[in-house]
Amino acid sequence: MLWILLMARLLAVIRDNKKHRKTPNIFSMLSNYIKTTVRNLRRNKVNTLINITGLTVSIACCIVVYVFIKNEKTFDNFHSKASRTYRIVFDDKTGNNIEHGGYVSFPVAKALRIDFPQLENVTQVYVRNYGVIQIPSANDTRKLFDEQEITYADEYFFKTFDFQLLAGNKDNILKSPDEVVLTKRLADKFFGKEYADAYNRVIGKTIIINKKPYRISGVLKDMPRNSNIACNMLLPFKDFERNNAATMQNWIDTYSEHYVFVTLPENYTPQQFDKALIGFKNKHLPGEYAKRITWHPQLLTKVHTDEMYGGTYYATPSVLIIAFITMGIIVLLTACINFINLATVQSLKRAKEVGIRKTLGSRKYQLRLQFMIETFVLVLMASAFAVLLANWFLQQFNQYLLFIVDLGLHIDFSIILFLAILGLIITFFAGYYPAKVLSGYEPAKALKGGIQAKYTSFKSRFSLRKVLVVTQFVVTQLLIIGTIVVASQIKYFYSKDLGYDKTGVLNVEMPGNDEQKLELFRQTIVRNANVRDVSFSSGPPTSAGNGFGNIRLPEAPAADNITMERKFTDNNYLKTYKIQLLAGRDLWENDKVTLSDSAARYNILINNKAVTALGFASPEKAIGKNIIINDRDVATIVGVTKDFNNAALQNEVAPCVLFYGTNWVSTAGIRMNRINDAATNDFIQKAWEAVYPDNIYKSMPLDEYMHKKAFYVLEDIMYKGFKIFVVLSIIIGCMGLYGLIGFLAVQRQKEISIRKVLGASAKKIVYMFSIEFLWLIGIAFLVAAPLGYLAMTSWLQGFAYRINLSPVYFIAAFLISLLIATFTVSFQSIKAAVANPVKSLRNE
Amino acid sequence: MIKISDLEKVYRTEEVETVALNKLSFEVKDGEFVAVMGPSGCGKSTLLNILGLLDDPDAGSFLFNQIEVAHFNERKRADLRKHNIGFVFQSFNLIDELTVFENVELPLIYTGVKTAERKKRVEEVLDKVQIMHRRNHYPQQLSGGQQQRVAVARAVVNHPKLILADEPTGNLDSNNGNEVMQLLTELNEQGTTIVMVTHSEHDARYSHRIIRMLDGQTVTENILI
Ligand SMILES: Nc1ncnc2c1ncn2[C@@H]1O[C@H](COP(=O)(O)OP(=O)(O)O)[C@@H](O)[C@H]1O
Ligand SMILES: [Mg+2]
Repeated sequence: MLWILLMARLLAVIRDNKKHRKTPNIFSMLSNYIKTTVRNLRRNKVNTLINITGLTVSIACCIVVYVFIKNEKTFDNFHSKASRTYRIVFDDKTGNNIEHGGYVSFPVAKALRIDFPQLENVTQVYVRNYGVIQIPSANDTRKLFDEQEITYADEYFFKTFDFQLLAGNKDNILKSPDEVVLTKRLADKFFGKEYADAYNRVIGKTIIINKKPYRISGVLKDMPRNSNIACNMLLPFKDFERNNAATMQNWIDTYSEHYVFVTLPENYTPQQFDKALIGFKNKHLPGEYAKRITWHPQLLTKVHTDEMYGGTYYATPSVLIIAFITMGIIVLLTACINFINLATVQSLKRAKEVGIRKTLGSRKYQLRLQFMIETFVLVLMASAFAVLLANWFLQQFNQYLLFIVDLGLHIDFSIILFLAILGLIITFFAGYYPAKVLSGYEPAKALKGGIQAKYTSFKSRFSLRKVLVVTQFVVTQLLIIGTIVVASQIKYFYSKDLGYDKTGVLNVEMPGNDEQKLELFRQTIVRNANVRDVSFSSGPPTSAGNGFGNIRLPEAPAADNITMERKFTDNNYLKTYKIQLLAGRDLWENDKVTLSDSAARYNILINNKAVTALGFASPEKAIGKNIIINDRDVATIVGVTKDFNNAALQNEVAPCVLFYGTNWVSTAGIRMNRINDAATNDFIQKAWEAVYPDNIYKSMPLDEYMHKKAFYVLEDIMYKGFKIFVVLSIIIGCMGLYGLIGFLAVQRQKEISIRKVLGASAKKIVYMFSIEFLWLIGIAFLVAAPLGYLAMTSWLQGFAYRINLSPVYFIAAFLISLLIATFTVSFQSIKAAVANPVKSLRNE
Repeated sequence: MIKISDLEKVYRTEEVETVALNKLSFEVKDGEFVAVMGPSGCGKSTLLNILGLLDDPDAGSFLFNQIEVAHFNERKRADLRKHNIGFVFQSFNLIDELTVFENVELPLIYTGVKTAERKKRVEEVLDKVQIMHRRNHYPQQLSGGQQQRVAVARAVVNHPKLILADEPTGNLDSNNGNEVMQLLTELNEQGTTIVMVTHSEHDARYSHRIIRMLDGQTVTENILI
């Protein structure tokens, strides 16, 4: 829009020129303008520095935001068949409830291949597998590597996806079950520098993954991170098949890490395929499921951003993207306001030049053009610095947010176009007003020095500068309010009573549920006096994804099922995490059960939430009652626990069932007398490594684990990002204020001098300056406080457990902004106030 | 060349109204050298600004080469000005960020003269005012007299038909002042019309005719030749 306006303006200028007998030589004019610009910039060093710094930082922020968003929007668009490749997703309709997912059961891929011979390709992947790796050829064969991103891929994988092989033959890999394809990153990690760039020599070597040997058949270039199927290692799907024969025949159970991709031929539309899938599901799914479930093709390039079906890997929440864009705009706005303020105060200095140029025959538009070009030159310089700065930002970013994005700055056409457009927009925004003011000066007046002083005080009723300064204060105060509220909420998060004791527990990752090994490990470590209790479970009390299921009373219909969280625990769980029992008893050793495919009977604990959800009048009333789990198992309630935060803190406590199930152990909770005792930790690690020699020991105090891994990831990023942006934008704002006051002080030097001669103290003069700003900060607060209240209230809605917005936050924000402004203002005004009055009066 | 009749200019500020020109009429012929004199505040600069198309009159007529220009718009005024009129000011009014050469070159850029031609003409005129050796200096590096010679060079580089000079010697000592007056006289002898405001009877004697003003009106005209 702006861009069009600007172009129209330029065209008009050119048209205008044509009408004249002689056209002013554009190049001479430009070179003249640029000469004046550069010399002006050099002369006003402080000003230039403030403007360039502000613009550089803000343009850099914009570049970062751009790279981030571009990364988001380009997932998997680099495959040559991307526009014809689809993921199979499902809708599952039960009653009025529809669930969506991007994954399907294992036999689907093979059946598609048979039933739809016209499909160009069908491939299935099973992602995010964990492996412990040994390198037999290495010097230290005891050295273990762990890898979280292993994907099972079939021999059709490379027919759909264009990942580049550095060694090995695309058409001939992943066909046998005992081979493996590594990325360059892993090849370098496993074999070291000597093999770098000669990956053919890696082919044929054997590595041990989870104690089984695999032969390397290919080395991949590191996969771009803007892919839904990025991983570090490919294992043949055949390997998965031979170990999971039953799963490969199971049409019912789905796993959220298993995806099927189809590539349609040119002449086959997704609509046609979508229709055909109805017959397909009716043919293969058991009747009851065929009624509920429909399958659809979802375009590959839509997978990452479609929140309904969920990404394959991670989906970046849109709130994060919006937050980043907003921040970018805010920083940019601050820099533009600085520029306008400094340019307009400085314009007094340049009135004479305008007068002269007009006298010599310059037209208004030519002057406007000149000042716009000046702005543009500045923006151009800032852009160049910004690219360097953005690059650095992104590197920091990657270290910070590695688990979300892998961003790099690639100077390509699109980023240059982005910078060009951004540059023009900034030029227009920042440059238009000053250019208008300057070019509007009347030559006779300007030469006489008639344009002056009038605008130097903030006392005058209304001026653009006032509006701009107030805007800046509004933004600053909003940011400060935001920071304080977010910080308080996060602190509240961390310190909230979770219904159990998260301190004093060491969280150790466990590699499996072999009961003998678990018992051996337990017996070894309980000998240590510092260890009080040990509990093996599917996860600590606050942990998502421990398995979901349905519970209902035996007499209730299936429609009354309540979704609940199911935790696999043991008879030490309550003791270890200090979860209070409200009624009944804890689990006992003989409550132990191993789940299998057939119905089971076992004893359980439920939380208070589940008591209410099932309709029992009190915890005591629930004891001894039976309930049905997953429409199959019969479970007897033997105890009721107090509610503890079992899911992410953003959510409310959910109904929860605890039972002594041996099938799933992934965590050991170890309660200790002293948590950070190096000797004990060492002892535990030794014991663990003795029991699990082929695995890698990983432990962390539970509270730290909660910070780092569990639930606050998004809030943490937002908060960290927030802090950086806030600091940057406040610094830029202060710099602008500093420059502005500097100019105003110079303009008012005469007034100050006269006041001093008449007996005003320096203190009085500083006070006089500050009081003018106090007004503006006050006005800004009247705008910022309600806006901040609204924004923060809506942000807090996202949390089931949240702080109340107390007036203290707002008052604090006001005081902080006051402090910052006073500090900035006094710096300059003291300089003006202590200056020798005689000197400036003589200058008159 | 110039014919003004019943020209009026009133400055209005919040409190006061100043009548700067009050039904002023006179004529300047092609090739004339006219001096305008009068006490401070009588409207001389206002007159010059209007003659130079830097400002509008409130009423009256202003014929420039037989064309009524009193109500020209900004574009037409700029156009007429850059091709026909040169200015010399008391305070020189050179652009501090441009060198001597670039200052003098500026009017030629606005009238669209080609680079090579510009160089030739600027050097010619700098030669004439004997400042060629300082062509790459900035205004602050020159003496007042030198600055005013640059300003004169800039005023004539476009070969204007009319030069308007507002107290050109006001900031100069008598030696430098005489040099500038000599320059103006030479220009006039080559055919350029000159209207000059001055406080100095000595300088006024270089002209053909003196217009004396008081409170925005002409009082007498002395013909010197
Ligand atoms: N821009 C202006 N605003 C208000 N009054 C002005 C302005 N310019 C000049 N005047 C007034 O008009 C009168 C004539 O001014 P001027 O032409 O500058 O006089 P001179 O050049 O003869 O000294 C003076 O009284 C002056 O105060
Ligand atoms: Mg005057």
